[in-house]
Amino acid sequence: MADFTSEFQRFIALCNEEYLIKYANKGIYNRSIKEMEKGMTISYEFGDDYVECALSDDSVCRLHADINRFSCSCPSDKICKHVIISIVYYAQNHLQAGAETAEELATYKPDFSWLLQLQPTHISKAFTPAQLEEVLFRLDYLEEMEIVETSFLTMTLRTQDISVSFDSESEIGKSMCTCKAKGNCLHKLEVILRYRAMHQLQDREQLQASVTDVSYETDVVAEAKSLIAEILGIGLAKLSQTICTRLELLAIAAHNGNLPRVEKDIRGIHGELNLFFQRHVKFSTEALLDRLSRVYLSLIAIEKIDHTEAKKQLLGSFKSKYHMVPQLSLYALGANPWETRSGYKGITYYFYSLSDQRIYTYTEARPVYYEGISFSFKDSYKGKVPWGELISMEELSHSQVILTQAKTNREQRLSSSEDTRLTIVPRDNIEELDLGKVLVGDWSSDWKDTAGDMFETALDSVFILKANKFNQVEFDQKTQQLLLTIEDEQCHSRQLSISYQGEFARNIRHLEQNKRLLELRDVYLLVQKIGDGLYPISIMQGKSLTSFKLDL
Amino acid sequence: MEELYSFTENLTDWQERLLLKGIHKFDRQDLQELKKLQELATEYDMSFLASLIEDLQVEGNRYLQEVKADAELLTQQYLYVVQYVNMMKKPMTRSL
Ligand SMILES: [Zn+2]
Ligand SMILES: [Zn+2]
Repeated sequence: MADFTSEFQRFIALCNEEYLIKYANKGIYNRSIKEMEKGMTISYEFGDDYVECALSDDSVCRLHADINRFSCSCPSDKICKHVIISIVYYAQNHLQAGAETAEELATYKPDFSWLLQLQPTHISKAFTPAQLEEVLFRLDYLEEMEIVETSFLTMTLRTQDISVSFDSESEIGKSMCTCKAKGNCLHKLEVILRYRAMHQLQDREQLQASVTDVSYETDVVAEAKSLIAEILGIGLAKLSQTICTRLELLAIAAHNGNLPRVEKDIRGIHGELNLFFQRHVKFSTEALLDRLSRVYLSLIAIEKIDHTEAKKQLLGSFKSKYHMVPQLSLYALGANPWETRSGYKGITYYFYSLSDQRIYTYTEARPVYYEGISFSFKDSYKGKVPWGELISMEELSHSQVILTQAKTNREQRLSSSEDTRLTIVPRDNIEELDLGKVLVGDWSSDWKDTAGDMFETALDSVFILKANKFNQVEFDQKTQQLLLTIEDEQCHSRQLSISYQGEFARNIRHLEQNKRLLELRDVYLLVQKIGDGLYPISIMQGKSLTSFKLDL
Repeated sequence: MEELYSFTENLTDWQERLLLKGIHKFDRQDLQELKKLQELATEYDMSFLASLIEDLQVEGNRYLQEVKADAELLTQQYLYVVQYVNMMKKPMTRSL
């Protein structure tokens, strides 16, 4: 009994104005105080682990030494004015009674060290694997976090404008988030991990391990393997076109099983076979055979590998997942239209992210081999941006913007998420940006080679070159390419080429005939490296930008 | 150099013919062609490729002799050879 009384008094002492407003709200708190001041009286009767409070307005409520446990005779199931009045009245009329307690209470300071003592296993149990994965991804991005200690430890995520408050009771479940979501939300996890990281606690590895249960569909892998074996077994000469339907179904199964890599491979095979059935000039037995063998052998590798992390890499499930990033500040670098052998057509937009100094892409593409599906570069370019429809894609590709709630994956591809909002800001001069590693300064060295796969258009190696001037612009009849020779300050020169494509023939002719390129000085070029070739996408100077294939 | 080129061409031709007619129709004549290709590979000092082709012959033989043979191992071995040859050719034929 005596123990409960002091426990209760300690609890009451904690219940200052701030605390009560946080648990209830300002409205209820103010109304309660007003009503109490009108002359309310309360009598308290202590039980084993509760106090029964009889209010002079005839309502009765029961309190424990815990803000989450109470009951009241009134119909409200949330914290009501009676509970607040009972707490405040007790604090004002009974707490000061024992001087000893008051002194003890005055020096009482809430302790939040439990947040640092939590074990990673405890944290991973309180949240879902999806939440863990999402937040571990977010930790790579800078976020300004404000920490205030009162009777609560309140942490505010500035860009997200979200606050989470913890009390000194060591339970994540008792913390409160301004997002008002039920249960343990992402924000709670994010502030806990950021707070722990600030105190040199590194949880990443252990938490990462808890999310690596590969949920991949063994059946899909086996079926993909046997379908390829069937194609090879029957042979192209006797192959029925119904195989296309089966490939498409399998691609859907792979998609649903979160096997994006397999899905892409199956669609690639589907694309090649479509070319074959259409007797398309672009069909090549060599390319089909290469693709079939690569996919088949990688499927065998997936079956053999035990290590989950490697398996995830092979399946691609880890890479393609999109996560929310609170804010991205993006400087547009231009746009590039493309078409693949497998029958996809699209435009990829490039951006330089000022905070993390990496290139982000956004791609709009369609599989044009389906009947009735067409894709016009021009319509797509003139179409509205997916994030709030404020401006066209063309305008976006010349702007500087801030995206909030952007969704992106580990390859810095942006998704067209409806939650993402776009704000246009004045465009900086390219000369004034710190382009980090994206600007390749040393032309003499060999650039890192990346696989130039026609089917993997969005993930390619793209960087910026600063050219002193153009030395030469000419069209090469043999290779059907426009060749641009550029030179840097040290007089190193490099050849860039733009390959001839029917739709862009006009642009190429324009570039060839127009001698203006030769007059330009100190320009920045966004360049894509495929194989050993360098292909320019856009040219920039000051605030201006021109995408070679789309803007001329 | 030219001979080497024509050797890879021959190997590729055989691979593409099999893709067209189907692995299930693998026959004695394929075995003979493989034998010739293996000898040439050895002659050009491409011992790894030669051993891959040899393994392919072993699987081909097994496929032809067993009554209820399935083509899985034959398919796998065939694709190993395809991949290896593609890897060899890549630097020469890389194009956009
Ligand atoms: Zn009440
Ligand atoms: Zn929240």
